[in-house]
Amino acid sequence: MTPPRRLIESEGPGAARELLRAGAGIELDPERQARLWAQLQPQVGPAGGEGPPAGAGAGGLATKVALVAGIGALWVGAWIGGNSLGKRESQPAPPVRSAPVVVASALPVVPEEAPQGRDQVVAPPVSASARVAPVPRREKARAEEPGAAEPEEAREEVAAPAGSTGGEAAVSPAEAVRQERLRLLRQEAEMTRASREALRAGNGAEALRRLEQIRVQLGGRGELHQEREALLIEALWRTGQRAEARARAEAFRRAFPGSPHAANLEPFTR
Amino acid sequence: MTLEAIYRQHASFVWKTLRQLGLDETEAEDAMQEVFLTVHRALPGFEGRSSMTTWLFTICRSTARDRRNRAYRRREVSDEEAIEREEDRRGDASRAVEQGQQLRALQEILNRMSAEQREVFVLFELQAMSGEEIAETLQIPLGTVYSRLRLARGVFQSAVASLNPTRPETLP
Repeated sequence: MTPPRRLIESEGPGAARELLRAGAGIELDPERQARLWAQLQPQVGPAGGEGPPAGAGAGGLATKVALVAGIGALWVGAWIGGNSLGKRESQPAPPVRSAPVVVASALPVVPEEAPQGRDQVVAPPVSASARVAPVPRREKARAEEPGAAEPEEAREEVAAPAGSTGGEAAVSPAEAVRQERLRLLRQEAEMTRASREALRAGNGAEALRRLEQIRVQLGGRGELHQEREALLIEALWRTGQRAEARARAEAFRRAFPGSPHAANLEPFTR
Repeated sequence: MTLEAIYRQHASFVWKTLRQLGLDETEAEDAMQEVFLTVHRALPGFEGRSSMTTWLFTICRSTARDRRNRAYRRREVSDEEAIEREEDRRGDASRAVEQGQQLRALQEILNRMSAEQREVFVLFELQAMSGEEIAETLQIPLGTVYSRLRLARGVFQSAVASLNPTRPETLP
């Protein structure tokens, strides 16, 4: 079988070659490389040492069951919570147990600093010639639908690479990607549920603290953004930060008009 | 080998691969984190019998497909809207070329290929891998590599020709 010649090496008019050169010439600039490492590093531990981070559970059926149950509970909680909000609309907010927590004003929330206890971020691994820039705030809108939070089951399985070992450690890349996504989703669901429980217990400040913890830990990623934002809005309202709650609720309803949370947030826009 | 060492050595490759597989910059940033978190967790099982780049490519491939599928589900709309969007999209590559945005034009064209075609096309045409290397990386027969490449080239050639109908290109 004679291998074909690459288009980029072909003769003739150059439009195709120009396109291909553009694709072949994609580079990761050092500043972006440094910033992405700075965001990744808190999640993998100091210096990104070998081995998975603490608390990284195995995948499999148990994980899926727990995850689905967690997400289900989250949605039920969101629905009940949202509906009860409408009923409590005319009632005064419960007393604030602690000082209001100030949160970032832009929607959506994004990370800017390392999580608690991990202040010492090691230098990002960039080439010697690269200049390390400070990590900028990254803001981006995500139009995530509720269905997107569900784990995707129908995926093409990829055979394990030749470099993988047998047994439990021999996970195909596709499976490893899926497991990592499930792990993060489960972690996010658990943290979000804890925040909701704090809010339902009347402790808005604690709910805000936990939401901030999620923001720092997950950064701009995460599947349950809408749920977190809806919780944040309610927590702000309950802690007396009503102008901020109102602005966020309006922004939410504009960004996600079809979201089941949008109607529940209506009381906070008044 | 630590994750930091892998990141230092291969971050550029991962980024390039994710972008070539059709993720925009914002998506690629998130995907890059997912890739290296996956590497971090799967690293104890990696013995190095295949090359690191082959392993990384397969992780990038799964991650990119996953993200594209999720994005597609989010954007699902009525048939009518889909047709309108498709018509708009066909003009995007031409506009991008007119504006000198070759990379964006290429992305538009790559997006017209199936995932299987795009992967082979990217590996062969953009990453200069041999057919045998692609077959090993994707775990498919060599004949399948070339048949997918032929189909992908058909899509590419057709798209390039439509960029400038008065001056059709002859591709090998």
